[in-house]
Amino acid sequence: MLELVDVSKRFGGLVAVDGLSVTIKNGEFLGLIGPNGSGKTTVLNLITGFYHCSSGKITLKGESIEKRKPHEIAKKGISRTFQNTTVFSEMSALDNVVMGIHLRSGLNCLKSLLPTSSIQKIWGKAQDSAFELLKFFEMDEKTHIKSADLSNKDQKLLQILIALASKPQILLLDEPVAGMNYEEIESVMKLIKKVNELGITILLIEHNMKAVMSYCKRVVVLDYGRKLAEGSPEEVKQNENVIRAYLGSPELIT
Amino acid sequence: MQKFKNIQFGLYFSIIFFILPLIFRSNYSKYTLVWFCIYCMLAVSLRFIMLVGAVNFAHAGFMGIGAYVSAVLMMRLGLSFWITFILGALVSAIFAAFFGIITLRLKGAYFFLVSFALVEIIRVFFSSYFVDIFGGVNGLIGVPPPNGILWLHFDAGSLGLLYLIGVITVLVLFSVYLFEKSYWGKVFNCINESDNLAQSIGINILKYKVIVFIIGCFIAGVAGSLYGCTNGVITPDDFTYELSLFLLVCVVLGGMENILGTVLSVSLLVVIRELFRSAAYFEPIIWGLSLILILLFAPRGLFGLGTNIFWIAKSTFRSLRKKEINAEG
Amino acid sequence: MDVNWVQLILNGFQSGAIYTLVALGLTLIFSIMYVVNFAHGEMYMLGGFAGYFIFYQFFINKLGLPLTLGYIICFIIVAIILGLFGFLLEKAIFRPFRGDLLGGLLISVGLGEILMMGAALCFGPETKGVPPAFAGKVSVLSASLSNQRLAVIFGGGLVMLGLYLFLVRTKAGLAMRAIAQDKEAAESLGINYGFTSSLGFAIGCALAGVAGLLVVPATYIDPFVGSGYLMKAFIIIIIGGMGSLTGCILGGFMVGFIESFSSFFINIQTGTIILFVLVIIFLVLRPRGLFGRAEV
Repeated sequence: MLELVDVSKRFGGLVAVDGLSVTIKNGEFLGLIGPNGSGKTTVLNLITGFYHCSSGKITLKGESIEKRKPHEIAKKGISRTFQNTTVFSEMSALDNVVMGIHLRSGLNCLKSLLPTSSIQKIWGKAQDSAFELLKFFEMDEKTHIKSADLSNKDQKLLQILIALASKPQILLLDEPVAGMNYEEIESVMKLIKKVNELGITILLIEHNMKAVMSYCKRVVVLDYGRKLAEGSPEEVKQNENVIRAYLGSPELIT
Repeated sequence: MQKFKNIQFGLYFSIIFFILPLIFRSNYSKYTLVWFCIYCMLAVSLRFIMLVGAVNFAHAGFMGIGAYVSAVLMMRLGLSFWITFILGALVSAIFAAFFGIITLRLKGAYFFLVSFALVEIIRVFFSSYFVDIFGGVNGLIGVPPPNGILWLHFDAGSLGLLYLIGVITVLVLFSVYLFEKSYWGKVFNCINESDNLAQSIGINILKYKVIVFIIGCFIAGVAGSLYGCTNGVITPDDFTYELSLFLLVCVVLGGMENILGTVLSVSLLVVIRELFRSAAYFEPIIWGLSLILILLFAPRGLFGLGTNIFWIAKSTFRSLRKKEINAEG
Repeated sequence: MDVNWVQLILNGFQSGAIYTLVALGLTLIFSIMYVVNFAHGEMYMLGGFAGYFIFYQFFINKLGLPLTLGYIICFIIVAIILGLFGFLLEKAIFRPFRGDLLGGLLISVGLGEILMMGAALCFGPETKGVPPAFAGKVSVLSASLSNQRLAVIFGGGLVMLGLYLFLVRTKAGLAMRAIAQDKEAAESLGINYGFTSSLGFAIGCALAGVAGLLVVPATYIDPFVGSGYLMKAFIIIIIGGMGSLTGCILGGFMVGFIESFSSFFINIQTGTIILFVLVIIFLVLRPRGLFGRAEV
């Protein structure tokens, strides 16, 4: 469904992504791993239009999207989260998710300037949908808490919900379990799996090997911006190049 | 709830405002109240633009465009004020559209710098080009006041003109308030906090920034035309970056939280400005000093309740530094 | 119309040198502290006034020192005074805003106003002139250039060379470049951000001040010249690239030439507008300038 064909990204002399070709199939749960600096987040930024490719093509369902702006890509059904926890910190959790519905709520128009009753109704509906989403992630108790006051785990969950709110086809997650302890990771990954079971394609960037290997059906490994290996978690774990790239890292030896 | 309380407050404030000149009948008080209104419009529209993270240092320039266009149309073409002040504001808005579409893509610091250049360019333009139309360095003298409607007079210095300006100001402030409290206001909030996150949920930040910029500059243009009528004289030196600085101090002092803060700080600063009228060089020193002191000790503004001024461009400025989208993972 | 191309080019060099120095200071401050110093033009102005008071009034009139000697001593003194002033300012006012672009900008706007009007109050708003430190003229091809103006070009070049050597050969300079590249990495290597910041600010101010001193015997000084130079510095930095010293130098001389040529062929105001249009073009087509950092 989402295809990267020979994608490269150069920053001056630095090659962040080098001739990467990856196909993400509809409905799959794909993991993207690699050492620090291997270009994972850059790939995410290229897909979502925050960076433009130096060369190569990116197509979504056959339609080329590598020249589009981020908000247009969001409209096409690709949502993402960010590495640094980004939520609208002054707003409540509920409002955060409501804003996430921006594209689908019907509020994205001129009429929403006036406080008419039809706008109030639409706003109410949006709030209900947002509440349902928060419930889906078991956060319904926390809807009115200012998002800046939420715990790290809840903020990361909120990020995912904001991205989910626009009913995307593909969800790109950038290190969603960073900074969490074992239990938190387990519960978050289970929720992400629930999202995948709804039919939403997931691309997961993570450093935490256990999370990736346990939940992803397929894994792509990057190193220095190039694809090092691709396959099931088992295949990748045994790949010589991958082991060499991670040499010294205790994570892979599980 | 909160919305209605605010509207109530605005109502009381306006009522007080309209009664004042009947109590203090001097020309001086009328004059001060007129200035208060014009500065309110300017400061509130500047704050409006700053809501999306753009610090528009050229605000005085857009006021100037409105003032000059309106005055020229009245004086050279004999058109009536009621047409020219809209036209003046429209020209200002159109120019803002062109300028904004190009420059609002830039990160906050660059936009600020370019707007600084712009206000200077506008000043140079009106003082050196088309001198037979714009009057050059001496500007235009004898800008006529609005012609009366029915039995109402709007001559310079009259109560009628004061009330007219007051009504326009109230309308402007109320419209801005409505805008802010609507869904659009929430969108602005999002753009301000994190334009990356805003884009990722489908908000076209350039579109919103340009729209806000156009509206803010339109209002500045209206204020400019009104300024021309009340002052009778407009010169290029009326629209310098020093005026923009004064407006910026008003907004910073009042805090970004709400319009009320801005209005209160304008009232305070108008009073201070009148006190220091005679000390020509002292005035900007006071503004500079107050800006520094406020930023160091009260960054939320004296009247701002709970909004740090630095919040207003958190994402646009920090992403320059922090590289939120990291070329690292 | 007889066009003396050599004259125009030399004029371009001269104004270019001054603009470049001012812009270098600004971009240095930006690279290290991530702050755009709106008061930078006033540093230039203060340097010029220091030239007036120290060089002219004190050294020449009071002490009766020979022109050239007094000038050179003054040069060193101005660099030190302004450097110290910058250092203290940074510690006192800018410290909370390191890395905070908007806050630093706003506070420097306030500072600039205070300095400008303060100078007007203390020194009087009239323009002041200073006799040239290097008397006489020199003929270059078909053009003539006063020795003072020649000194501006050479002095400017010397200062730029000195800056280059400082940044490349000294430990402090290395620290600054490290911070400009990656603040966190530099700090984790033990570089003292606070001190380096203040030092960078000091040098930036000194650069602007020295530029003012260089130019004042060739033209004049008044309290309000600051903003004009500030704007030129902004233009240069946008064209050359924020944080790039090479871009600054190239941009600076480019601006100097454009100004020199356009004020001859058309008029000064149009020259300014041309520069402004150029800035807009750059911002649209290449926002990071000629040599700026890739992600802007």
